[in-house]
Amino acid sequence: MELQGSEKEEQFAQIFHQYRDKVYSIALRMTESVELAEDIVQDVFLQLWLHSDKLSDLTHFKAYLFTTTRNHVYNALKKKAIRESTPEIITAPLSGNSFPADDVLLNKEYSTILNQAIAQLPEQQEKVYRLTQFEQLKRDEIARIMNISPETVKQHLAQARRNLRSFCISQLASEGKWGLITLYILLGKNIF
Amino acid sequence: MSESKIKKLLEGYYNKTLTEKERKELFALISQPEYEQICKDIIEHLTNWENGSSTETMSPIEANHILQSILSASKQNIQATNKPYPNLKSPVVSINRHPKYRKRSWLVAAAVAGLLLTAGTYFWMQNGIQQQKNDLISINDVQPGKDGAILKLANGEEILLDSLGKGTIGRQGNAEIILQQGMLAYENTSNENPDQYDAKALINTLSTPKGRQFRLMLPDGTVVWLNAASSITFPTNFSDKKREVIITGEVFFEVKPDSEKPFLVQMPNQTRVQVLGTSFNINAYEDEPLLKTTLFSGRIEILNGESSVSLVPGNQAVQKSGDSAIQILKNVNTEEVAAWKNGLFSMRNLDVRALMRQISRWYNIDVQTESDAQFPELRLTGTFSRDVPLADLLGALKAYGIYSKFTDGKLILYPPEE
Repeated sequence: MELQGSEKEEQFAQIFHQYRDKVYSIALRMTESVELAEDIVQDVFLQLWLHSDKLSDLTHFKAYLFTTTRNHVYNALKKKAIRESTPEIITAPLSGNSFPADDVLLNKEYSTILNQAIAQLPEQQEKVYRLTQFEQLKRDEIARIMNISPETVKQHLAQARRNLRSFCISQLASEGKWGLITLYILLGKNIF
Repeated sequence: MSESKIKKLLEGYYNKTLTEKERKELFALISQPEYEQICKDIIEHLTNWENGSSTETMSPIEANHILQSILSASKQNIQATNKPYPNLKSPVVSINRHPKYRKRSWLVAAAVAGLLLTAGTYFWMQNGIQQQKNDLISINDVQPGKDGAILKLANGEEILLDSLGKGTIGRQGNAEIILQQGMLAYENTSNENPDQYDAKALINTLSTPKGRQFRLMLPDGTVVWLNAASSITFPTNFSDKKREVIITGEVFFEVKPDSEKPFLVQMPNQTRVQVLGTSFNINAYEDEPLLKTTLFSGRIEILNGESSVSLVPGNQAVQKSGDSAIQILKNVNTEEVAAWKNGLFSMRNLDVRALMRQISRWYNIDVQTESDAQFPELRLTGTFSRDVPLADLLGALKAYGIYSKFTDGKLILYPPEE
């Protein structure tokens, strides 16, 4: 895969479409959730894309894709397990509190990256995301303020989350912080 | 736990044949790190990458969204590295204290305020006006309270205390003030009989602001826990007849037994508690409707004007604010009363308003509703740690139908959608 620019993107798109349903099928079967399975597809292929320069041939690539899928499926399952086996929110450790020692550092780093990511969003997506996340407005209220339909708000928000997820992960990856990525995904930080 | 057991459970999960009980068992195992590799191996085996076919198909639209987000993220990534502070296209609402955001975010807040005013909520206007003045604080900045207090010496000098300080921090008369392990202590260093009345005794006040708690050992060895927004005033050496202190807010006492010198606690409403040696908690916050004195061990007497009542362990004396009459509740849950000093919020059939007063004191924030009539009529039971960030706590409360938003340093409760 020693390709440049758009040629490389085309090749990646091809691979993505060829294997996406395979990854999706495994993920859906193991997580029982369309949403989680789609997230896994995104995370797996993003990681593949970020590592594409290091993958020399097809055999390596397939093994890598599979191992990555397996690891992400395991992480999702673990997250699901933590959520489901927490009987009463209030009597058990609260969400996001499973790694208290790391939390301060995490939050600081996370908010820096998240802020950068939000600023990179297309204008409408950014607006919808901010109003939802920080003003905690409801979909109908945002639709009225922005003068768009609630359905459009929903779509913008979904795409904003996808973009933030990709941006944050690739940003962390470019800094070599794979451990943090796993931790974020496990902690279920709001965009992951 | 054997490998084959996990294998059997995971297979059952994959084939959707697990009972609810087995599923719980599996999930309890999965989250344990020591089984990570085994789980991964089994998943690898089950999903059979090489020969398995795709049984499910993604929505093509969603697939394209995902692909686009991957390709554009890595491009933006390069831009972001070149520009440490990316251009802000249209900041709508501030999420940090960056001054750049402030003006526009106020505009949007105002737009929102206007919108809701039409629905007849006056509060929003107040809120909108204040938004202009205050620093914008995101909910993620709101951390739980911690150890810390202010010590006011007899000469009016004030010393800030935190959990990190250590060693001798000052001297008052014959007493040395020592700070260690987050507790303040007074040690009499004179050669005279330490039990003798010290003419040089001086009056000190230890107080905690909202969001801070502290521990103190009085000159007689009595240990005192101060909850947030509380204070205790005491002499640096007690007289030989009695030990007398004045408190506000919420304070837990473990009084050193001394039958010769009764221990007296003066509360803001003229009520006094007299004890010999015992442990008890006083909740005398001015914003709480009831003043409560709860006895844990020993015996105490509560005096107000002419009347006096005595408590036995498990009893709680309750007074309405502005009323000297004392009622006694029997067999109260003392664990709940002392939870705060053990790092917990504990609720037993607790009114939302009361919980919000506690949250306000501990997280140092104001809590309001969109309008006064709309506090959820809920009573909560349960326990949670006082260490959690506010955002997590509110997330948990949401599950109980308590909805809130954090705007401009204030927590605003709103009713759930119909």
